Amino acid sequence: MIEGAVLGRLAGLLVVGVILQTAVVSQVTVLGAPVDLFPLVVATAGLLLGSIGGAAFGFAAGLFIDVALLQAVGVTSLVYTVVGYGAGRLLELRDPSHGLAPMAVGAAATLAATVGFAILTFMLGVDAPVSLLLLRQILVTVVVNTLLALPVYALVRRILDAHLPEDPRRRRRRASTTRLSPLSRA
Amino acid sequence: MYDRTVRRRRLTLAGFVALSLILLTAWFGESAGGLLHSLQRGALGVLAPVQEGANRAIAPVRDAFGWAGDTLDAKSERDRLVRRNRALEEEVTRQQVQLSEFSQLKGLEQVNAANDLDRYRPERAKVIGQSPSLFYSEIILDRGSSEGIAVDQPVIGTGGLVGRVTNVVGNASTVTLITDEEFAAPARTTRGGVAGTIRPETGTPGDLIFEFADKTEEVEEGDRVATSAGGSIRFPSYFPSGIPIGKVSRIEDGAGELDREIHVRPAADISNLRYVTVLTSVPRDALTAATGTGGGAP
Repeated sequence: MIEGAVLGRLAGLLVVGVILQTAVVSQVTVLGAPVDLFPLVVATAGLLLGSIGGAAFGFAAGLFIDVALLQAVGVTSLVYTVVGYGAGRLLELRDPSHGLAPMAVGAAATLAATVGFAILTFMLGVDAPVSLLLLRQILVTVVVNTLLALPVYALVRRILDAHLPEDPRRRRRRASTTRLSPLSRA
Repeated sequence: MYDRTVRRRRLTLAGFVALSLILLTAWFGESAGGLLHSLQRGALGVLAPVQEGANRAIAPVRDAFGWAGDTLDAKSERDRLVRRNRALEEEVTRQQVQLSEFSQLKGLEQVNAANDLDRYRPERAKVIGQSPSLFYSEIILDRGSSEGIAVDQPVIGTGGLVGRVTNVVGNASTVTLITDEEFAAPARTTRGGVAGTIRPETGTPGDLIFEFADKTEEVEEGDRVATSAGGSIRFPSYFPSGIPIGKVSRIEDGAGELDREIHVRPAADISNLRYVTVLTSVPRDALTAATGTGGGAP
């Protein structure tokens, strides 16, 4: 169960993150594509909280973004719910311990988010052709987010770390250290 | 325990997805004054000042990122424009060459028409080679004996006389230009009919001398000089009368009448020949008959 302190930090991360994303980050463009860090934030939350926490955070983040940006309410929340849930399931099933795992997860999350958002937008009747420009923007966003995945993961983890439930990896590391430490024999 | 966890997880996912779809349906279904739209407007009212503050506070950082992005964009834009510029320059060069060729062909037509040269069966030829000498004394044509070209036939360029054919093979020929030091031809001024011989000025490429004139005092600057049939034993004429050679550019007075040196600037641009006309059928009587001034220059 997620503690109240974690909920507070998640809420703060959500509000500050959305404000920064909409007011600052999304105005920075790389090769014509605006930077969008929120798929990374949602995926990181999923990686740290698990599937239920990831889905909940994704839903809340998407809803807040839809409300703040006056978009069709429900679109982003639907996409981010799936992204957060998927990242959380990865934690539960594979428990990725490799240092570069956040990069792979970030790339996959960004790809899923951008493609999912595009598909939903088209389904809702936005009359825009699937052009090479759109594909290029998706590719650029995925590449940029892959490069930014590690710092974002480190930042979000730093914000939430002290209040997270016991990490199985840390548990394993501590157990193994205890066995090998000469102090344990004392 | 495990089943309950799985069920809870799936229910959570399904619940959030369903909630999203409900919100989506409700948002599209309601009017602009509906609950969700009002909520969005309210949120905008609250968040806008905060966003504005954040925007101002972090503007330098954003601008720095923007500068980096713009630099990358500018570099790719520059590369694209360089490629486009190169392609356009090639296109312009190609068109200028075509324009120059067209201009020369038009000039040839004008010379032919003005001097009635069609009666001599003109054969158009392209200049495919030129002696690298500064004196431009010889050119190579892409037409030869197969097209009826023979030695000593007159060659006309844009503006007037260029030279005469001196070597011929089946599909090519060489032309000795009027600026070659060996070249000489009987000539006559078109205004006063003063007869003389045109020869190149040794050591001065592009400058001709009108010499052995019988009444040099009648020649003035600006007078046009054209070929003259007849000639002499020393300088037999290979050219029918009336083909423009050039214009008197300056006259240098000497001690006597015979010392006057009359300089003629060629009418044809010898240094820039792309197309010429070879007169392939000049009757013998056209070369021997002294017909006076003949046709005028174009």
